[in-house]
Amino acid sequence: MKNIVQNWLQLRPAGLYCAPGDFYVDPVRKADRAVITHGHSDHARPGHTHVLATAETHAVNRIRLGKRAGRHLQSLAYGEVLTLDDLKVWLVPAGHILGSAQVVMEYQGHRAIVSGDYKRGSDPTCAPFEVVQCDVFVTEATFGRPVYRHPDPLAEVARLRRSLELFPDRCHLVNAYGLGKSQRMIGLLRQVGWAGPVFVHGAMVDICQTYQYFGVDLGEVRPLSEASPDELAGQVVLAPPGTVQGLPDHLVRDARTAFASGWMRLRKRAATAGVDLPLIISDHADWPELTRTLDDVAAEEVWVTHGEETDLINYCSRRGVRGRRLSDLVIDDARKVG
Amino acid sequence: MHLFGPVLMDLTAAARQGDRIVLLSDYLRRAEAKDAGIALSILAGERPLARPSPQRLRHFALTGLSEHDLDRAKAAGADLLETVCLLFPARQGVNGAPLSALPMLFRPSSAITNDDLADLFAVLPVAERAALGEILSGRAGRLMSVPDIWCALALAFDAEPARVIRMWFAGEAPYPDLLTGLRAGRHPSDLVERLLPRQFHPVVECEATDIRSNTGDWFFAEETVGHRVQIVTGPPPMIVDVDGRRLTDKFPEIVNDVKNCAAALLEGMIVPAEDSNDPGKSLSKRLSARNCTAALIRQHPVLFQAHDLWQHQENDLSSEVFADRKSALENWLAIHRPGRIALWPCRRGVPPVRAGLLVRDGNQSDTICRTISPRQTAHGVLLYVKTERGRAITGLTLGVKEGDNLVPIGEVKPVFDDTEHRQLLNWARQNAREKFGPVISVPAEYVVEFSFRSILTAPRRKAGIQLVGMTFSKLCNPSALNLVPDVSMLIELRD
Repeated sequence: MKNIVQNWLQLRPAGLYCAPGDFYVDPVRKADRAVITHGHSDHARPGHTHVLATAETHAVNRIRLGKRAGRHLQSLAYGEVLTLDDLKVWLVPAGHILGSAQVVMEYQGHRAIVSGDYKRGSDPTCAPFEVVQCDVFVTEATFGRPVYRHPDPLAEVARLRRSLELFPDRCHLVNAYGLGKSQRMIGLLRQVGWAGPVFVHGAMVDICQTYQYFGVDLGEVRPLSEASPDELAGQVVLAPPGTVQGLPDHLVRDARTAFASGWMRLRKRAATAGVDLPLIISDHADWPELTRTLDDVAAEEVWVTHGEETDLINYCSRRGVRGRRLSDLVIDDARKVG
Repeated sequence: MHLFGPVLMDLTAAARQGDRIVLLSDYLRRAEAKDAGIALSILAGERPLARPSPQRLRHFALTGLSEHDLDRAKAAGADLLETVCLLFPARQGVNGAPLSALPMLFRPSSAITNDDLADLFAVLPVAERAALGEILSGRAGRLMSVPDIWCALALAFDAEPARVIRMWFAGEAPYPDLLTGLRAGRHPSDLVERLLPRQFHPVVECEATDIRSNTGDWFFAEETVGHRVQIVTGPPPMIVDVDGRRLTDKFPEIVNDVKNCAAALLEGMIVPAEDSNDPGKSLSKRLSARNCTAALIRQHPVLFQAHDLWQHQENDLSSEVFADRKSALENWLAIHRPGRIALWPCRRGVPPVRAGLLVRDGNQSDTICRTISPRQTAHGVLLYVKTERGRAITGLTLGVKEGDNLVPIGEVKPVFDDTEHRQLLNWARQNAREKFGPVISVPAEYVVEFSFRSILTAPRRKAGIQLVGMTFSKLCNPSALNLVPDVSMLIELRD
């Protein structure tokens, strides 16, 4: 079976290439036809000619890449089947961020899924991961080591909420990736009862508006630039990691800092971040979720695209599933966010 | 643990002293009385449980994990203890346990066993185990200074005056002044320096009903020179220590005294009967002697300090409240009058020390269940670093001021994490003033906080005194140099 799938789903320098459809999935180089799983920059690269993705992903890409998001954009809703000769392609939710999708390809009775990035936990800002059984499952392994076990995100955000109650005079500056994580943080904050405004860094404003446009209720989200220093006491400010140096002095000096990332699981990583409140919240599947997914999809062969592949391949082999490492696929791992 | 775990992790991450105080005071308001007491004990550096060695920990981990998983996970950046805490399989249906349900954390004077670890991991879900790693490694005891803990207590106590925690000091309680100062926005360090005796170490008392018999699960060790035992009065009389060793032959005079007493199970400790410069040595001679001769008994007489009465004439008293057991013990002693058994405290002229914390429910009476004499805390300048084969620091020789000079006061065994160890060892190598064998002489820059039990006169030592039971607390930054006391201050403390 593996040889059959490999005949039409091939690893090329630009990425995974589907021969019957003549397209790449998340290509790392400019391609004529590309299917994009989600809008993060390590998956959605600029310069493709024809791009197929969900409408949400296109919207995000337009904000982030502008005209370089693709010359011809074609939207495909979840579950809508696109037939290209003998090949059927459709998208199913991946539960990663708004618009994230797994690409399901079926050809000559064999089914392969490229999952992109995904998670199994609940997320108020995107559709939950959908299990589809297949023959070949292409998975990520960002947190592909058993030591990575994410706690309940609501409990983590409750810690932030508790801190807001304990330090009502201090601004809480939360470092979170601008696309996906920040909006999820806002959604989780609403779930734990935070009704006040959430101030966001300028780089996130448009993304938040896009989320709201697609019906995700984020409550009151205000640009940080519009807030006066006094107004920020006891409020939540979301900013992408690395932008702290650009923030006003008064904000950084007195702020209680937090960092939302799955990497905060490990004490040394958390210590490196140097924040008061490391929050273990990730948009990637942790080890139990990864292994549960592999069990659920019941694939005969698993291809691991990026992250910590060794343990996941070892896990597959223990269960009689052939695991394959695709780490030579040129995905910029350094830009992977937790 | 489900409350203390997240707080401990927040304390670990918090960068500001004031934040830690607020976080701890908030926890103290919310926590159960017993949990709060135990948490304070942990944060104050009380760590009777020995840290499991890496070999033992690894051996234990491999009972539930594959070697591949353990090594790979450790390589991800976690240390061994953290790796085991995160990875060891959780038991199904475990919802966490309060701190007070983890008595194995506080087993005194014994190294942690695989069974202890298995018990701990069985009752804690993975989410709470990160905090367990901090506790077992001893890092939790270095998060907050003693003054910070006092401040947190003051704030918490103010929030609910009828609540569980009472602070006792040997002299006058400066607590109201402290609280007034905190309210006025004064910096806690200033207030504590001025208002609180720094040498007081928070210690915890707990209801005697929590101290179980026969299991060795005593929560707190007495801070005095003695050997903890239980005496079964017979027939035949028997003396057993906490490790289960039979000491009946070692103390024949006590056995002789209780031979004709009614059947009872007494709990307490064997202490030297006569004050001497080194009472511990006297007791250890008795314990290590192969044959307990009449001359040895004469030279090193001992007493038994009775703390509790667990059984009396086949009646199990362990379910009784402590006050009842205490009165039963008093009656038993009044009737039988065994010559070498006394109700605590038995050493003449030493009043019971009432410094420390009493943690109990608000509705209980004020009867003291058990009082523990406090360890005293001081700072010392690092003078010599002792290494083993130049790779591991095994001892730190500390000094205190004597006029403009520094005199060595004693050696402590350090408790570092890997980073601190590496940092200090590198610093010592690079700044070595003199090296002789395994000992490196270093400039007087590093300050170490340590605790000790008592001060003895020692004319042969340069400082003229000896500190008994010196224990490493934490490394301080160089700005703490002004906290290093003069030797005359320590002599005053002894007096």
